[in-house]
Amino acid sequence: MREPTFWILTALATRPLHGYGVLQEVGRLSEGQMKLQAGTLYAALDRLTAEGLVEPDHDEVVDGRTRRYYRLTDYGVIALQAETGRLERNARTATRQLSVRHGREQTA
Amino acid sequence: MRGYRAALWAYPKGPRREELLDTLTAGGRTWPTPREVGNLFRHGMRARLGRPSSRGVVVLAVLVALSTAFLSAAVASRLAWETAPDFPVGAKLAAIQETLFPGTPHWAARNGDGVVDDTLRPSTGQLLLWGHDEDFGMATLTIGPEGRAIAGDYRAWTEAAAARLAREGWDVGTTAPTGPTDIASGRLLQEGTAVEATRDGITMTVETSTAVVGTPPGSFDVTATLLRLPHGHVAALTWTGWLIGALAGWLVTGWASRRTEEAGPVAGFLTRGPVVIALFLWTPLTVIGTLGLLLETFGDSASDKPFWSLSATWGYGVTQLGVLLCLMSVVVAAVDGRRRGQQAAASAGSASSVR
Repeated sequence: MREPTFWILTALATRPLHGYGVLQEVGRLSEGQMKLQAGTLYAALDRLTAEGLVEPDHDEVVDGRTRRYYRLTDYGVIALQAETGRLERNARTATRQLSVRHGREQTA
Repeated sequence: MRGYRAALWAYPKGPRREELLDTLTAGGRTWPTPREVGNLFRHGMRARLGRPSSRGVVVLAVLVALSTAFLSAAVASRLAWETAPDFPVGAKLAAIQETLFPGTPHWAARNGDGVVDDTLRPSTGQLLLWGHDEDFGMATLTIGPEGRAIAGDYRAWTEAAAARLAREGWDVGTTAPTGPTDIASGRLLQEGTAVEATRDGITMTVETSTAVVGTPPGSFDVTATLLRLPHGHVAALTWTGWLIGALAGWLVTGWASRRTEEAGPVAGFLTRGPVVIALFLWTPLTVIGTLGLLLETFGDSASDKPFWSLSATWGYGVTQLGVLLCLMSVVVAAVDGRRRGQQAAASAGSASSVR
């Protein structure tokens, strides 16, 4: 899973959001590390919708424009859990390796 | 807001444009940054293809766009050449002849009436049906001395002629020896010379030879062949045609892809199949032709054949068949999309009458 996809799914994990809401939430959750462009966001949303990870939740009319909200599907939740587990395992492995290196340096 | 609306043209018509506009302007911005324009163009053109999780459709669209770009560039180039300056005539031609053959009666013969030369002189109908003859190429103008032969040493004459041309402002290249190669030793058995000179959008190849039948002993045959170089506006119009063709190919592929996204297996096969066959036929010609176009634009020597010549001669039937197959795909996509649209409207109508 690519990083923008991971952050979009993460942003949608708690509640349905519209496009601008996703951009804001991704920026907040990633502490400004991930700045998604609108074109990239909607391309990802289209792809994730086609793959069944995300689906439209409801439409809202604001200032005469329809604002569509998206939510995570059950399959999207499973995919995000799997990716989170993979990242956790990777992080644990890297931490273990670094502590071994740190131990060797102290012995030397 | 207008800037965003213009950038959103890259997306297909539909609610997505408004949705994006809402997202883009929600933060209070009214004009897109160059990065945003690039991002919207890239993803908008991708969105035009539909099938968001398919990579195959992108590959197909790229190949179609490259092929239609090449075909469109070929048509644009052929038309642009019609507006290019013709070969020198009258006093200008006489001046060139006098520079090459001073004090000698001379002749000039044009090969091809217009832009190109096809020795079979086909009618428009024959041309559309069969394409050009294999020897077809750009029109040329050949000049030479009366009787073709000049008495003396061809090397000395070539050297003097090159000097005269240089004095008249021609950019003269190096003189190359010409003749057959001895198979046993691999050595060139020199029988003549060739030298190229360029000026005012014309390139002239001056060739001498002692091996031409009927050349008297102590003399040599000499001819100069003039070829027009593509002018700047020809290249500009050709590449404009290339861009228009690429865009058209991409947009039509996108339209057909979106229209058949929900199609059944038969309609899907009848849309994709002919395009895949057309690409199989077109791609070699597209690659060769596009390389020729790049050489014609950025190379430093003139070619006596247009970059699209293979598609108009040996590859003409293949090109025609490819066009027909692509048209078939478009027709299937149009008919199937319309049929499913009517079915959807009918089912929506019956659902509302039940209510």
